Amino acid sequence: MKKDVSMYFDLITSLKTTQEVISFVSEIDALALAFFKSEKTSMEKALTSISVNSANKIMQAFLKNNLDTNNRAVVSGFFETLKELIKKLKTIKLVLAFDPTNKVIEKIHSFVKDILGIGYILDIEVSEDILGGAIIIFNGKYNDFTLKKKIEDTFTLKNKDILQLYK
Amino acid sequence: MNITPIIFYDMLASILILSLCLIAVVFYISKATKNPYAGLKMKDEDSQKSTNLLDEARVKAAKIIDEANNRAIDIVSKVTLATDASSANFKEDLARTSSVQIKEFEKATSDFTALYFQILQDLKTKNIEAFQSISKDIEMNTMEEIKNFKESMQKLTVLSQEEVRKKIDLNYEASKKEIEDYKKEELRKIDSGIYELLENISKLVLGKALNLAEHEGLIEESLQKAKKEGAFKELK
Repeated sequence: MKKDVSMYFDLITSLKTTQEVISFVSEIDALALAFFKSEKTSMEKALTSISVNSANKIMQAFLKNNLDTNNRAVVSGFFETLKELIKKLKTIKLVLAFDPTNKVIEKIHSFVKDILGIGYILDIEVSEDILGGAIIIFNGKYNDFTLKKKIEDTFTLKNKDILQLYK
Repeated sequence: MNITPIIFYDMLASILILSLCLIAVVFYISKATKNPYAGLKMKDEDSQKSTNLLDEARVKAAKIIDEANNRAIDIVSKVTLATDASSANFKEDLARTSSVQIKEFEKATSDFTALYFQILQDLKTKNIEAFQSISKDIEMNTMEEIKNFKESMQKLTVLSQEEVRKKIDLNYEASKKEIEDYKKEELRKIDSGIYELLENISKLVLGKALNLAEHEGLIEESLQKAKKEGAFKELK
């Protein structure tokens, strides 16, 4: 089977966070298990073992790329390639001051895609202490762009003035 | 012949007692015979004979007494002579004996002195040896004591240094802890008001509390900065 990354584009780009990736990978495993459990099991039937959303996305991918869901070798290759590509996704860890909604996550992910391209997922952690902004950790590099950091820097630079204000 | 004075005086006393006894006997006999003899003169010739015999006896008695007196005087004079002789002999013997004794004493003294000096010399020699030995012992003991003292002092010095170092360390740790505690306390004081302060500062800096859009804006701004600073560059 050809390894055309574009056929997986929608599936890959639909994954925005590590939680989604973990969940999706486990669904693929469950689907594969259900599908290859028996020769008689159809893809449609196997897809019922996973979430509707994921099932739809996978089915769309098969249809869009004219893949034969009855061909077990094709299906097996699709799953393997999909998992390999998922493994290659790069994780950006973000520490935020609030718990983001899906919409916010989507916006952030979209912004990441705009500035960095596809192939990135977000690992989001919440820490109210940072007040605002984000801590960005990527490839082991730590970057603090939080409001807290800015205030601390302000403290350091304008210590006397602030203490005067405090008194 | 030598007669000791005690014996001599004993003999003299015995002679005198005997003489007195003899005089008493003669006196008694003469008195007892005087009156009967007067009565007999007038009687007969037999009595005359008896009287003669008594006179003879009286004469003999007187003679005996005289002899006894003479002998006593002779004995006394002999005794006196003997006494004198004895005295002279005694003096001579005494002088000779004294001389001999003095010589012996001198010899003994000389021997004793020599022996005494010899003993003194021996004692001196022994004492010197003893003192030398004692001196050596004292020297050895003193050296040992000095060595021990030195070692003790070294140990004490090391121990003191250790103690001082430990105390310094302890004081240092205590001071460090005090500073840390003070720092923590001050930080705690600051922390207790930090959020209020931060809020005030946030308000001062931002002018108002952040809304969702502003949060998103800050996040996007953070991502942009991160990109600019090369935070997303791949590790090779």
